[in-house]
Amino acid sequence: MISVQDYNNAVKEHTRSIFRFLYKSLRDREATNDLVQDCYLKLWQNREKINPEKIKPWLFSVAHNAMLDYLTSSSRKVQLDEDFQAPPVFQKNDFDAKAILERTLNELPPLQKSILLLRDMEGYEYREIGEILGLTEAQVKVYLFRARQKVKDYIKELAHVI
Amino acid sequence: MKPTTSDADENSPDLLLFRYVEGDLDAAQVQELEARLASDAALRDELAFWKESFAEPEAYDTAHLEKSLLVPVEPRWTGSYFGTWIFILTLTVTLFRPVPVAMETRPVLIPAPVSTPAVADVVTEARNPEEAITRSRMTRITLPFREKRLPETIEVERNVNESIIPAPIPGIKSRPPEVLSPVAQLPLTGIKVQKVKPKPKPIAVARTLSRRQGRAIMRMKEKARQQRKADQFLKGNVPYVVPLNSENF
Repeated sequence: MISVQDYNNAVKEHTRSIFRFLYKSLRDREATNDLVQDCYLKLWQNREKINPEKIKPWLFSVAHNAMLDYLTSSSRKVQLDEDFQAPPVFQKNDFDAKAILERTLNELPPLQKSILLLRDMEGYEYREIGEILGLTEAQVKVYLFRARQKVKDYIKELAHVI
Repeated sequence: MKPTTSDADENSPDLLLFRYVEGDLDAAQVQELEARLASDAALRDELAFWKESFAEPEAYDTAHLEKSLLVPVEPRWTGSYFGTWIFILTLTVTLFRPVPVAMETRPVLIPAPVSTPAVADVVTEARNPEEAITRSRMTRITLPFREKRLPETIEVERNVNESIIPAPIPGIKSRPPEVLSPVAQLPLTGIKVQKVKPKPKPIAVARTLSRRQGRAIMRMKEKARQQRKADQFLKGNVPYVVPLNSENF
């Protein structure tokens, strides 16, 4: 059972992490804001079922599923705006490591991207990532290996081109 | 399709470097790998690419988002209740504290002791009465305002030019002597400073009624008046007159 105080503490402590996790995947601030609000709405709606000590993993799990749903729904949409421009991260020509990493992350499948972000930015262990995403520890390890390998290969390829 | 660990070769350099950067190798494996890194430049370059595969956390401003998500907590009224009780207590103490009694003095004439002239020495007719009076000491009499006990002595100022009518002292039952001595017949005046404690004035609390209370009182009065009329009617004190309807006749 989550009290109002627990909810408020969760907002103050985890909003930045959830936002960063979703924004790294979506690169859309408005959509990220909506999804973060959806996550906390679900947190409050399911407050009687959630262990207060596991709010953060629960939020990441909901955020990951929300992100998958958003990507699925957005992939069906047809962009009617002719003036639509891709996010700036795709148009940068300066090959700094950060921009390359951002571009590489966008190339990753959502699950691998989520595992990589949870591991690097939140510092979760394999077991915790598995609990959040519904995977075994071994699966998380393999997915993470593949994600890092893709990023490494991409960076390596760009470095050779430059 | 779910991946398995068999997809990657356990002895491949990639997996080894991955486990190295992830910190999954034990001490012996780390020592062995670092020995290889010291001698293999290509492996060192590969390790550098692996190290660049880590995502760096970025800071985003989410203050506005947090503000929109926070649930306003209802204010607790404990402090206000406490403050209210403190205010009521202070008001009560202020209103009902004991009013300090101002002691006022007023002169009281003490009549001359008619029954027993409290003269220490014997006054005879041969002596000058005034002189005898001047030298005499009278018994101090305390009027029974507070204490019933009479004091020993009292000094009395006498003014021979003023005359007062002797009156019996309340509380002292004495029978006037049949033959008054000249001293007793002299008009005596006595001035006694007596402390009188005035009664504390009752605190007048202005009772003001609100309109709502006034209306409630009016309704209660009207109801009582109607009840009295109904009682009188039931007792038969009030005749009930049936209005006549001409159509019935």
